[in-house]
Amino acid sequence: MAAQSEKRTINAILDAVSEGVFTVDKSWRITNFNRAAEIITGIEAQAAIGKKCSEVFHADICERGCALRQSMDTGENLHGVSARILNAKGQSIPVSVNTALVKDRNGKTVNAIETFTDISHLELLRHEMEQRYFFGDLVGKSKPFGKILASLPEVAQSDSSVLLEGAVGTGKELVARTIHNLSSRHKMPFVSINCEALPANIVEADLFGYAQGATLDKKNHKPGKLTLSKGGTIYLDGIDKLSQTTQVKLLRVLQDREYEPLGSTQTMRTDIRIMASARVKLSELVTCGQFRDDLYFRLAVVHLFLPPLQERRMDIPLLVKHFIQTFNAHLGKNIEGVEPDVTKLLMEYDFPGNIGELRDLVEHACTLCETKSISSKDLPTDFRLKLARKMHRRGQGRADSSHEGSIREAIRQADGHLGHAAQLLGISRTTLWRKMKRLGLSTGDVK
Amino acid sequence: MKIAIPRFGEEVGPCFGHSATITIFTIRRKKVIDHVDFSLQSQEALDRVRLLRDQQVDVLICGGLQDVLEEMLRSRGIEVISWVTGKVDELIELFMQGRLKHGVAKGEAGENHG
Repeated sequence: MAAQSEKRTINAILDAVSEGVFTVDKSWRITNFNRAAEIITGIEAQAAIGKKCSEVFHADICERGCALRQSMDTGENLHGVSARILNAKGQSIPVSVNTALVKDRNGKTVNAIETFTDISHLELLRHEMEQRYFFGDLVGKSKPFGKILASLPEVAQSDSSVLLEGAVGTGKELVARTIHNLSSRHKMPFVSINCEALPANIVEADLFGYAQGATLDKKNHKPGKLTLSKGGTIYLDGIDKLSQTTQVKLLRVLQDREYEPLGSTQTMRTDIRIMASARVKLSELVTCGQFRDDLYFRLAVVHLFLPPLQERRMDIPLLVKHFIQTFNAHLGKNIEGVEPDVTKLLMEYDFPGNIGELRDLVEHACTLCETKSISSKDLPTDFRLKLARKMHRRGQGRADSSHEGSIREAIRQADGHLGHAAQLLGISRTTLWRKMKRLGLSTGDVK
Repeated sequence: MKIAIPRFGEEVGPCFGHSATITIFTIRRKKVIDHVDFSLQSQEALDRVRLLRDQQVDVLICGGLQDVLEEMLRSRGIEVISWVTGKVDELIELFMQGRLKHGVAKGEAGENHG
């Protein structure tokens, strides 16, 4: 009885600890598994106890240097060992591991204890700060996304130029950075130039650099990004906006690996990989003579098209979850997810700004959310109005503005604001009020 | 048909993305006619995917598998039987008998062999 009571006390203490804790016997079978360990791994204690620890944690260190084995072998406790485990959903979780040994009266080891802390939030912040993305940062399970994912091993391994096409916010730069980080050039710089945001002559100077006396700054020369990113990757965002002169110079870089800085006669050699992106179909610009065909063919050796979010709607819940984790780390919150009706609303919307727009929307909602779950009231008003307009347009064929259902829907979408609801229905506020009176509706009934 | 199994000693490796050895079995008429061990020093998960591509593997049988890697392999037309545990020889035998099923990540993989 006393032993049982003691065990219950120990379990209660373990469950109160915020770190994951488990113990193993000498045959590596789990004997204790606390509540925090259940949360981090997504595996229930009942299922974990009695299993070998490697069957539960699927950690990178299981094979290359198990922390518990090291402790058992050396008799020393370990602190702050970095590792990655796979949780029940197959997500890779970074953890910090400590170990300790339990010895009997004779000093013989009988059990080993491992504690581990989920450090995902730290890793997320570090990735964001350093903009270092790996394939684990690409989120999606849809078919169009799967095609891109499937091509990554070859694209990363090759040294060919890559052309990424897709609308704004489809994640072109994220994919480019991921390819770079998975390539043999990952230790060298990834340099990005926005060809759209800068005037043509600045882009040219930025890319190729200039010699002393070539510009108003007569005293200094400036190395270009081609020099600075030597051995690495240069990413030209909005390549469709590149001037004809710069196109010719860039073609020479791609063909001969050579260029001359502005105002210089000295030929420079460069060893870089070029990736470029365009919001429009570059082949159409080639057809109408606005973009050089030879440069296009040199750039599009690997040609990836990133689909708009409305073509990969099934990825929306996964992306929302990913962004919530990101903003939890940024904002120090602990939001677990979204209400089912929010998912429904998000799936209805077309997201013209694609993943970028979805990310902004989730950031807004996370900032306002005061509970564990994002509800529709946390979504931006602008989003709700746009969605309501879409729903109304869709419903126009079925029902007119005097239809009770349409009125209820419009008021609900406008969050009870009669002016906005009237706008959605295409009628005046007074007319809406009159119709509501006739139908015996009040805003309270609808909300 | 070629079947790849990451190996950790006699058992299936706990994590495909970090396994150091992968055995590729060639099966014909429900018999193993050849098997080759590949040693991987790299910690890069994509190296394992490239190995499966180069060796024209049809099926991967493995322990833990990161969701994005699983998606990548399926998109490439590789059949994946993941989250299984146990001895490699037993797993390949179960596969040839058509009795090997996906394991469950929730620590129940041991009960999902057949």
